[in-house]
Amino acid sequence: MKSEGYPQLEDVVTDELSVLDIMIYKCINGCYMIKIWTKLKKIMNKPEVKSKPEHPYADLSMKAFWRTAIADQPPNNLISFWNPKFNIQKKDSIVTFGSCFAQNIGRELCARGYNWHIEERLPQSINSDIRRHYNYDSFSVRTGNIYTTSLLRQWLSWALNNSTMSQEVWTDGCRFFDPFRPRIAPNGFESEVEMLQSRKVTLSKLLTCIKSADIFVFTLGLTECWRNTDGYEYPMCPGTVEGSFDSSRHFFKNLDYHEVFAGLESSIAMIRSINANVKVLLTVSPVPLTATMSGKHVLEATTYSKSILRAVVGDLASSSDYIDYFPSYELANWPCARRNIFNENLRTVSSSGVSFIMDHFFSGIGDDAISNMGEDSKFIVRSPVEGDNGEECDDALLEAFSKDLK
Amino acid sequence: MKICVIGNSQVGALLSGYKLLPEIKVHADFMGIGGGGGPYLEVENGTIVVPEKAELSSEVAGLDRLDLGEYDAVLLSGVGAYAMRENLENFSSMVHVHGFISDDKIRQCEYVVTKSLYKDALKDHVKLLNCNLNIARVRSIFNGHIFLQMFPMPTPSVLDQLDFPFVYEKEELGRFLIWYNQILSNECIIIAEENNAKLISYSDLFFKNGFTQSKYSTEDAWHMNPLFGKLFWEQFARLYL
Repeated sequence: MKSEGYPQLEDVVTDELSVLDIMIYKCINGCYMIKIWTKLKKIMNKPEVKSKPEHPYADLSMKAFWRTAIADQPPNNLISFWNPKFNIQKKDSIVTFGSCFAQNIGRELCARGYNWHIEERLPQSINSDIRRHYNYDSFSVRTGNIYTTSLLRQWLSWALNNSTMSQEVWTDGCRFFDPFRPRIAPNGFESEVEMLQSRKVTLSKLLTCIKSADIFVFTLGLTECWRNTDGYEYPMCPGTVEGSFDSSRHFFKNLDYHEVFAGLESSIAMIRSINANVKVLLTVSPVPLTATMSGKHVLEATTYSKSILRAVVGDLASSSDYIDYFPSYELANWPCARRNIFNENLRTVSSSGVSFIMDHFFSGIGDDAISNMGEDSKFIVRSPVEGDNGEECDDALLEAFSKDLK
Repeated sequence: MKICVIGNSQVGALLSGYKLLPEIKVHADFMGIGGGGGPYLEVENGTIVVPEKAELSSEVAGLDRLDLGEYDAVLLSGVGAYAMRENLENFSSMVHVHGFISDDKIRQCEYVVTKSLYKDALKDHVKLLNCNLNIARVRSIFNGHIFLQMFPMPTPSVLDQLDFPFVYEKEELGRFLIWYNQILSNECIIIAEENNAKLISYSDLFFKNGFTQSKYSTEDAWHMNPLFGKLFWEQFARLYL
């Protein structure tokens, strides 16, 4: 394999080969040549006599400098990118929740032989199309997408105390819809009772899965949300997917840093009250906002939203040895990678983008095995719809309803 | 009418019921092959290959093929979906359905699904079972009448069976079976129409509150006694002879 512009193996002088042996270590995606070049370049540039460090930066590793960590790196591999705080092993029971990007994490875990625990599931004898159609196998239980930390807190508080659960039901006159997971049943529920009973099953399974989990993975997605005057938060603005918008009852809320922090902090406290040993792994979804109600340009709104989420997870992760952060957001948005990470809509993450991100995740936990997603996987990824990687993004529906796009 | 009755273990009740009706104007030969989702029928040159494990009634005993050209009609026994037993891997033996189960029992269930999902899964399940695929197989080599007899619903004693896989109470199970039977019947009618076959619907004499009546029970709630078979043939004669 030759890479344009990089020195080739045969260019290396013979007396440097012994150094080469040391320098060859395994890269993500099995790429050796690029790593060799990177190391060689460093050595070639290195002064023969190492000078004594004169300032704190002098002894820092390559990963601390933009040039050596980013600019000089090939576009598919960042060395020493993530060092997890705690071990993640194949036998660990891992549960996943959060925004639509989190669905990729669960599937990749499963494809690589990790114990992605799905508590609310169907028998394997029911075919995978039906399982997916009814939103099984997306998260560990059928909460649907949980975009905000306050929505996570709401789900957990309902699970701990069913009596606090909203009794609101949406109907189109024939079928019934769950306002808090409006797309969970493709054509809605047969009755109000069925809808509420189904949600209670989910809440019960949520408790059970946390009790048995070793690692709780949560992907933060948004700061913008919709609430009602009773104090409940919806995952989607009423009227966009199901239900109807009532300006006297429904209002927009853009969570600030303190609110996001409080939501996540209390959520983790609830999770740990259910299972004192569970570890928490946080990620921030790299998927930009489909639409913003903030009045700002959607790019500015996205930056604001992701900045807050990133700051909150950073602060919480640094405050505890059982909370860690995996920088999926950074991987998707570093300057060199971006073109390959997103689909043509520049919003949804491409298959190669997911692989790129998850390769770094698995490399970080010491597993360089290639994904087994495909024939042997029990989860069959559907053919991508335009710009879709198989994950269900409720908020993407907003796009279809956008008047400007019609 | 000369009729060839082919199917799974449900053939047993039809054979024993037929023997109770010496005056019936039907000559029937029987072939039964045990196994709820089956049997798999191999068809060849207008004949059905007799599987090794097949049980044959006296007049066709020993044959290695059944020539359907010798019959006016074929009755396929045990179509639809087979028994729900704890040891069976099929979804219908594992899944409870919302609307038939009380809130307090839901936590005891590993799988509880909506009616819509169950319906979709049941339709998918039915399409893949050999007992139903046989309808098209037989039609491919036979131009005469094809009649279909569905698996009966269980008798109430199913609740006492060791391999009963559900937490339903009797009344809940009865309501579920009425609903379940309706979906199955509709699916069987669709398959029947696709293959120019006729589904023999059970009259109200067979069922009570969703269950097959106890008087038709054997030790196994999913298999019926000769009286059931007799009633079936009487209904058949009334409709088609």
